[in-house]
Amino acid sequence: MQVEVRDDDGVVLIEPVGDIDGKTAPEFQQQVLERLRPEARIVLNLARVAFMSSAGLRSMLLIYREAKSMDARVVLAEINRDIRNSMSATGFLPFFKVCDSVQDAMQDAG
Amino acid sequence: MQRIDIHPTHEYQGYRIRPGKPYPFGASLVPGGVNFSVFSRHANYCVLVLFEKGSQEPLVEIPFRGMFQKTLTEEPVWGEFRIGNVFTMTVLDLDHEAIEYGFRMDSGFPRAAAGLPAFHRFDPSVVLMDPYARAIGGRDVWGQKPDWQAPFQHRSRVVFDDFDWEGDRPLEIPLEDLVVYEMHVRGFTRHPSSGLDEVEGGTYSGLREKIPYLKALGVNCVELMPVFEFDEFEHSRWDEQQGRWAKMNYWGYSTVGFFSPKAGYAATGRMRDGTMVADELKNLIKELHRNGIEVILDVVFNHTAEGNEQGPTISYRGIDNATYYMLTPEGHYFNFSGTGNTLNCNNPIVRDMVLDALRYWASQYHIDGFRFDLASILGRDPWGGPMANPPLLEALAFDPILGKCKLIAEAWDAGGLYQVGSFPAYGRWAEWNGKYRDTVRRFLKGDPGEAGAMSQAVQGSPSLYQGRGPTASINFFTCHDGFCLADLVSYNDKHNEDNGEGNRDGANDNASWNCGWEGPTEDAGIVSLRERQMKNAMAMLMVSQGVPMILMGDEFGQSKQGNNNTYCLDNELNWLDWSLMERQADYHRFVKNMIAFRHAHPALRSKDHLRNTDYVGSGYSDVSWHGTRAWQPDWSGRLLAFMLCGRHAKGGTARDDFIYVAMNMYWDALPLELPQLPVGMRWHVFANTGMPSPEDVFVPGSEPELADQAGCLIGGRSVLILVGRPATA
Repeated sequence: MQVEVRDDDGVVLIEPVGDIDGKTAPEFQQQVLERLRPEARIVLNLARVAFMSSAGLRSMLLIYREAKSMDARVVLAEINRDIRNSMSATGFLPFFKVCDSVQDAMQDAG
Repeated sequence: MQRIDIHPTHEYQGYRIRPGKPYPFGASLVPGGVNFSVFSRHANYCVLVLFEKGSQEPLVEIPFRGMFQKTLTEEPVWGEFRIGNVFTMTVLDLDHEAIEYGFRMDSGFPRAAAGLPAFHRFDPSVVLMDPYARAIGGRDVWGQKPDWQAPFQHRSRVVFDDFDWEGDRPLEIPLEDLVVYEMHVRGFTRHPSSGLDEVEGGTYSGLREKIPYLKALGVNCVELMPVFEFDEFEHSRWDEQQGRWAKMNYWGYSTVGFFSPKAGYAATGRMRDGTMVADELKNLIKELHRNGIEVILDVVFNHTAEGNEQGPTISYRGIDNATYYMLTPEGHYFNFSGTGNTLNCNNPIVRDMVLDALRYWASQYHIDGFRFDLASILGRDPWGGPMANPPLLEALAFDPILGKCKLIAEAWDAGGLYQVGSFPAYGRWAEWNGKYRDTVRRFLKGDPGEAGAMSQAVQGSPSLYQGRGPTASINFFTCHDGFCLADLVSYNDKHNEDNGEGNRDGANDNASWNCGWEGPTEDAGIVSLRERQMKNAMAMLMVSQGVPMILMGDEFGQSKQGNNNTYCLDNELNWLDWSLMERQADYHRFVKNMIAFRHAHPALRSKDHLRNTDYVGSGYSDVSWHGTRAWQPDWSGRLLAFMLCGRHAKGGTARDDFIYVAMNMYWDALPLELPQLPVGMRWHVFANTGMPSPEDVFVPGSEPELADQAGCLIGGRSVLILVGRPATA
């Protein structure tokens, strides 16, 4: 799975490309966890993720938990409606701070 | 530390496998792969069939016995993956989200002809659903037409069973303190008036959105009509003229899989992800619990969706027909369920399956209790005879994991076994009290001579449940079967033409009364009498000892247009019309206050039967009986009054007010002499259904004092409820 990462003024912007499912979730998770540093500020831009399965949701939650344990902050941005509905229905949504745009998320994280 | 048993021992067409673990049955995620395990006593041949999700062509069919390749050396090697009567293998490196699976089975027995009786119905041409499937695909979105030609309709899926419960556990609210709301997941929010969109309307998620409403109503338990996977298209009929389904298996009393939540009830069903559907239901339950609301599942273990000899082979009959079903000596299906077949519940294998399923729901989904559809079948032996000490019912009552779950029996079946009051209870089982329903309905419509029976009903039917206590009695006027409350007071006869069976289906004996006109009317007198009768019913229900249950929609007075058996209708008759909350605001307010009154008064919620004596030295019996004259009940009349002494609340351990209830089902007003309260106490009016709103009911705790403390007039067909407490200075 392709995951683009860049550093923007102290905020790490992570942009996975493609579906996050049983096949790709472990790799996605690993790539993000590698970039996690204590007190890091991370924005996960999901604009280029069309589909997220239950394995994807779990990897997101694991990332969030790991970040919290390191006093890092993770903000989600640009989640499509399907994924947002899934996250809401399954109870994953309230765990996250979610912003509509990357810009808002960058501000929120920073 | 790494396990040493995660390496493959055999290969088959590129799939790496090893001998599996027989327990638990079904498909389980294990380190490195998925473990499959399925029982069949009579099969001698079994194949695991793996599909890519949604695909008709299998990815691979791996036999449980045959020639394989040795890993590493690729030498041919014989393998058999079976322990006893259990076929089990672990397939490594499977993406469990991406697959669906089933089995093929065969035996040495002759092939059964379709439509003819047989003990064994093995057919290796059919891919069978796993009886222990934790998720089932094929009916992912409610009402979305499946491909009928597809050979594998109900497709087992693998579920990742972790969930972040955030500390949630079953609530364990004492049974006597419950107010149960019987509801249908889809019907609750499918109506456009629910305000939910197409995706959420009619789903677990939609229900979750409406939890604040349930909380405001005051119920602390929802009983969900079947949520095990079923096929809404079973016996369905398309109406060409209307362009919609004339009939569907809407209620869902026909189980396809006992371990799988109905995918079509999930907003996420369309994602075709079994784990996500499970997550959605778990999230609903977690939120209900957070709001103090328990969840009881209506479970159907008496039969399956496979029907009789003519029915489809989905799973059980192709896996082990003679084990799973009760069969006549000729090999016909016994039909104690009225639906074609009868699950062989007291066969040790099937008994274990039922136990496994309930344990799964209690532990994995935090379910608070179960209501067993046609539970008397669960007490029949494999030849259909009722047993004195049925092993399944005993096992359920003593099961460690189900130890705090509510167990509620529909204590009859379609084969003529009627066990209300005599269901084998083992100190655990409660019953849907059908006799309570019949009595209160007759009393409500003003049948003469019911006061004596009514006195039993409001006490939690001690003559039926001696030694078991009032909590053995689930009290109800209405449930999904039969008239809803609005129709109980609007129709003398059922009107089930919409079901397409010439009005022959549904119960004929409804003990209903239309108040003078059959069906809708503009007559203001009749309309107001009907509303009063509904209030009377709610009042009687909420002051009865035992466990009250109300039916979804009855809190608004929603009608089903006289249809008393709406099992097959996916339309407005079954969808809760939220606009009625405003249109029936007065009546709805009455219901809410009546529920609040029950919660406010422990004297109404005794764990043990009332003793009709004064055992705390208050000078009053725990319950005393009255007529138009205080202390002089007329057991043969249409008026019954009783008084509860608050000092006896909860067996004398709680303090409560005095409560006086007079129920006058005579058509005229009658003078009432009131029992005298202890010095310093005064009667206050909580409810009087003879008064127009808002004087019909008051918020508990804010009741006004009654003008004449010695007596008053009670209107015809009215209920009066007073509370006796110290005079406000």
